[in-house]
Amino acid sequence: MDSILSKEITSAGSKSSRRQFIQASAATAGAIALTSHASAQVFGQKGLGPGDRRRRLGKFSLLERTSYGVNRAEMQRFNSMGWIGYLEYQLNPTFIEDSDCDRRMQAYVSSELSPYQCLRELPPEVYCDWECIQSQVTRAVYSKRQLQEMLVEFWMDHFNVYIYDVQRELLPAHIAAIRKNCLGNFHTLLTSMVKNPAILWYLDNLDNTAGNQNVNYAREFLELHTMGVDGGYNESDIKTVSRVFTGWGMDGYFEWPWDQTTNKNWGRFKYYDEYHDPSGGQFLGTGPSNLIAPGGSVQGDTVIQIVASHPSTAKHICTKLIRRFVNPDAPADLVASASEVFLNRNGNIAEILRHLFDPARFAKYYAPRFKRPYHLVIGGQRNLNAEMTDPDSLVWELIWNMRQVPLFWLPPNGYPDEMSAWVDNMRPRWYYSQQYVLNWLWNSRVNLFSNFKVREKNAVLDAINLTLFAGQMPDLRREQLAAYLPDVMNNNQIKEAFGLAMGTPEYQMH
Amino acid sequence: MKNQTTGCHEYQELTRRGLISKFGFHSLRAIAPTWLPNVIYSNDGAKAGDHVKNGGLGRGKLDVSRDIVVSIYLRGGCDGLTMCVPYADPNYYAIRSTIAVPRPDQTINKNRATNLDGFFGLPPAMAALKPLYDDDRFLIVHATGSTDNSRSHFDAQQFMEAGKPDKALWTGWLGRHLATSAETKSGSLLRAIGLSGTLALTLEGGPKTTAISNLNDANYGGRSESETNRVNWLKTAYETAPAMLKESAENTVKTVELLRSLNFSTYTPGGGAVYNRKMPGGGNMYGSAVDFGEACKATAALIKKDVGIEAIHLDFGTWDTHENQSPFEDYGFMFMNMWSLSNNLLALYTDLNAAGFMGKVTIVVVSEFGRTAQQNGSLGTDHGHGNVMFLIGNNVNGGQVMRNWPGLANEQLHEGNALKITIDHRDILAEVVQRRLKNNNLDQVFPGYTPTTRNAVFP
Repeated sequence: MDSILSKEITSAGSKSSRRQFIQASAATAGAIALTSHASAQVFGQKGLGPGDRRRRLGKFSLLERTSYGVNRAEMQRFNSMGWIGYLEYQLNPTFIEDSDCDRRMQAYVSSELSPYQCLRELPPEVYCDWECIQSQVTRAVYSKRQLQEMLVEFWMDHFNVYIYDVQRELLPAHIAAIRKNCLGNFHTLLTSMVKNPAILWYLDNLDNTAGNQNVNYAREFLELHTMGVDGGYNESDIKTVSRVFTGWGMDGYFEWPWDQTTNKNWGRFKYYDEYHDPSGGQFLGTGPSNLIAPGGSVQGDTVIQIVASHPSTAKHICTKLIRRFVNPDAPADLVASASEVFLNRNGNIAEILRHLFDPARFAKYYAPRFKRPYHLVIGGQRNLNAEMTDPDSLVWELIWNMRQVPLFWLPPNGYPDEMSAWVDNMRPRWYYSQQYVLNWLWNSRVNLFSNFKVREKNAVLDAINLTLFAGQMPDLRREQLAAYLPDVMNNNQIKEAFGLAMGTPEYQMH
Repeated sequence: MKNQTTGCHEYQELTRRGLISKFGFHSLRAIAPTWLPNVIYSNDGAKAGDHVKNGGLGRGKLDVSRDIVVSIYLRGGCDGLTMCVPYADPNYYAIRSTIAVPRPDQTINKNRATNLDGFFGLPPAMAALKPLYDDDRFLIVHATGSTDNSRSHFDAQQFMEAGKPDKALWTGWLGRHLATSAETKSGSLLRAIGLSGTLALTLEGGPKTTAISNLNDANYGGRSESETNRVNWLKTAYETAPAMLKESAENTVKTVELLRSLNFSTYTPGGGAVYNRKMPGGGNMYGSAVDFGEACKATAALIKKDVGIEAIHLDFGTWDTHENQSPFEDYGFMFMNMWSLSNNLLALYTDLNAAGFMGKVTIVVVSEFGRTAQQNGSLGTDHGHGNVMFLIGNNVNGGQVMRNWPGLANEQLHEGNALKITIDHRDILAEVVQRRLKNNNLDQVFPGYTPTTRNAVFP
């Protein structure tokens, strides 16, 4: 049997990137000694409740949590690097060779441009907001920096903006700032999100000026971006923060007309002292140490500093990270230990992820997650190594059928994370699975037949198990599929078998 | 901190959902609050009937006289002081210096309000509903809402939809109504539909309940010749899935069957109803304003098909008018929203009434909170407290603005900047549940709350 597995083991793969990585992470090289084989032994059987037939922790669980979908190249890389090695590889994305993705990114001319360049220098047929979505989807499918891209999605939810409620030229810089800081210190990330006209626009801070307060941004800054709704602040704190951020705005906002501006800094952050209410006020307490003294922009820096290192913020951020990457239940003791890492390590996000993905800890707390539509669709492309010449058909699937495409969530809380928010209707998921494997999605092609010549049922089932389930397809599903399929299959039957497997309950989880 | 253990905001927003995922792979029944009857997740109307025997419905005895309820949620916190203008309050024009709706007696001002009762008026964009008001089919409740102090969208929405300010409550009032009443049509495919991408909390916990974003979406994809076999295979596969997935798959198959029988694409409204009417300047609405009209049309189609749908929930977004409320001009966001709301509600009423359905339909419109009494620095308003609520139906005690008006003077305001709440929204909803939906299990629909009789609807 010419299986995908045997091909993958012998394939030459990614020597150069591995070498780069090993050079980059000499400090942690010792940890690589823990191979995936050894780490697999760490994990016992972890039952996941009635109805679960697949989702016990397996050899590739880390891979499945740190990527949108496992494919042959990644499995091979994981096999050779081991658990810790692979984790370090993903936590150092700048050292990951990513030329295939970079080449695809050349199609999106606006992604590296400043707001001014987007406004004045783009050809009229280029819509930089649409390019943000296209490039995001393309990166999610093709970038080898999978963990980075998952964090970009995480922070884009956390610092949500809605595409039609922001001047479009501000969006590429917003996403670039997230990508740049997504694994760094939370304080740095938060600063880049406060000094970010896309956020300030979306949450009405551009019009929050001395004497004309608009508290919308201050409220969401505390409730969503930092301390959490029960983080221990009150309405008076919101008003103080709102005053502190008066005059925090966008360069060129008060100039008109924009389309003729020559201000190269148009659309970048600008602090306007003349619109700033300098009075300050009490913040998070009544004592003198809780007083934001009268002053200028330094007040804002102080508030950012206070909340970025506040225990409520640590708890809020860690809870969300744990829900997304470890366990949708966010066990309290794991939140507590991760929050400690947050506070002790200066809010370093990579450090928190190291803590969460520690093999023994991850094994202890791991629980299955329901794939959100974005994850499901991107993962399908990755699992079967689809060639997507243009992401638009995926984007339209996500917009029209599954309602989760980057930048399309209107309220400031970001796309929900909970299974129940997404589970109501399986039809779009089943629809996508069939259309996709039949190559009926426009501009996305998957070639199931280059991988195996034999159309014999067991070979097909082996390939399904390996590509879609990382080898963990439940026996029951395999039996059910075997009973459904003829012994020797024609092309359509093979395609439909992959589509059905993608429609199973277990494939909806990761 | 109010609550040390439940974590953070978005998750608390949907703690009901958090709780589900917490026990994600257990049967929902296993985590139902103890005060819920244990048949609550049954799809079997007879079993639900068993439970509500105490409430007066016997086993298998289907109460076809119950209303269908259309629940409409205005997301973002709509500005009730614009949607039903207290023009005779001595402080209204002082606190709304540039965004107030002019008095009805300003005869030369085209933006003037339409008088309702000598104290309140409708802004121009809402005036389409005046004929329903005059016919006593349209009830406005003012200074109402969820009495919790939260001004967070997410908390306030949860509390209002759950019917209790309790973050641990992850089922909605309407979902619990369905769970504690027998189905009106025995063996119906679905009992409730949320016309949105995801199911609103209002309906969460209801049996045979699902979300549909587009009534034309009834396509499983793939080759039609293998469809029956494929869907049967998936049905079998989901029989051994975790409870939430199993339930979802069952509802999915039923939904597709229902939608195919409905053939919504050929639906023609009756009674001369016009959904998504053009705006006064001749322009088309866009975005959520248009989506709302489509959802109203779908609602009429579903109800007129009479397939046993008992509750339909619609979400209408973008009411969070921190900036440029512009209640008067075509290009103003709030104008367009109100235009869509009033004209599409009128179309829905007209369409259903022409087919003889409005005697057994009650429409309820709510929003999480009102907005600040004073306008802010951006010609908008920030998150406030008391708000309006609308009811439409032939058995609604309409033609009035029901209120216990708290006033708009500084000392009369909630926390100095928002309308007080003098009528708990549950008083109104409980009457709808008891008098129109014929469900006496109010202790389960609104746990821990004893409603005050308001006579908002007739028995």
